[in-house]
Amino acid sequence: MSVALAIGTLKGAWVARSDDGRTWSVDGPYLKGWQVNTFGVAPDGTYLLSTGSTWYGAALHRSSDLANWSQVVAGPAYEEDSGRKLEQIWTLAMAGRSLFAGVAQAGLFRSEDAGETWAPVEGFNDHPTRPGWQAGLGGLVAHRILVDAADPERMWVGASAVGVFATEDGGESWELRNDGVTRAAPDDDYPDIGFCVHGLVHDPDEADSIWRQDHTGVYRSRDGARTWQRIETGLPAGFGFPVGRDPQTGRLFVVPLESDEFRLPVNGEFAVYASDDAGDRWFRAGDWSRPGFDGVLRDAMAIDGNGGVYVGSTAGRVALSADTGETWLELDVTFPRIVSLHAFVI
Amino acid sequence: MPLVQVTIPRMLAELIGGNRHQDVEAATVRGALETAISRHPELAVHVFDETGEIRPHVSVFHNERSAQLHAELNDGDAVVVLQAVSGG
Repeated sequence: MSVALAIGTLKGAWVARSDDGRTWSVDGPYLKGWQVNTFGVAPDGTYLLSTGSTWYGAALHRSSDLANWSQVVAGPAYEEDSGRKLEQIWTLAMAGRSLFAGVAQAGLFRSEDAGETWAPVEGFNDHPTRPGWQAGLGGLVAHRILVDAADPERMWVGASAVGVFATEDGGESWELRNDGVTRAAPDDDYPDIGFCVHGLVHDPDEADSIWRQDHTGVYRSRDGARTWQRIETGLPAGFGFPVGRDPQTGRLFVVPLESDEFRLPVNGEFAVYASDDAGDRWFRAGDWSRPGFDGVLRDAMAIDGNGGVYVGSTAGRVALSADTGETWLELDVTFPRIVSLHAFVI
Repeated sequence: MPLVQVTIPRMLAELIGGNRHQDVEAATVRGALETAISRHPELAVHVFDETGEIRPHVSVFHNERSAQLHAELNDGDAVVVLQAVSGG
């Protein structure tokens, strides 16, 4: 079994490949010079990535081999009279035969033809609370999409700095679900929003169990995001961006950073933290760390389901484990700032 | 209709096979851009924004001067799309 680790950076994409999880070859850059924000798989089995550019806007690209990419001509786009601009495409997710894209300025788009054409998800984009939506440091962004595999009509979307939304009807209607989470951007005119979710992951076999790396800490929900409880025992800090979960063992992973002000590894130790009891207690994964002052962005953690755990850092380094975080090594290539990391089992 | 050359930046050219230069027949700068983009429609999103205007960080030059989109063209003119000097 081979793994292709797709690495999206500020200046292009690379693909690291391995047959054993320990020896890696690296190919690239692909889309040289373009910021590569995320990767995904379309319902037809082709790979997708999104590019974003300060100069040239955002686009989707498709490949059958993660090496030869061609641009999707009719990617997600706001209507001319919407007053909104599509600045970046931050996440892609399949829900049954549908494909969803989360974008900045915050919105969702849906494709029913494997990503060739897209339509806005109006129930989300025109949500009644939208006039109060505030941008976080990374912009006003819809960046996480979870789908209930058993019922793809049920989805959860994280938007910053707004909160977690849920739909039970395939995206027609959306409600905010953030009870128990501390607001990061409180505005008394809009008491239901102002939550700054960073990472979201859930249990594919029990979709109502959701974990959340938020601006204000690490949280867990057991009821489909309706209520949240803080779970930070053993963590050196509650702030961070990604949260991941190994589907085989249930082990959770986060990469804590010292506070929203400083955003640095605590005590200059770059480390991944794990939990084997659904977040009740956390420990340093594999007791591994290295001196470092780099962090991990929200889309830059990947888990392949076969023991592989991968984190890409803001310093362009990739740390990886082939044994669910027990032992770690780093690729001997330094990349530009890593924005996204996705593992594909080939 | 004047025959002019449209040149695009290398980052955009690599999206369409690498060719930076196209000869097109067009009466105005906008017409030249639209004709060039009609041959490679994936370029549209990178040059124009949602409202049909040139993106804020994209510059268009006509014979080495900042271009007005409605400017009229003559045979042999050059229309050049440039990445604005911004960003990092």
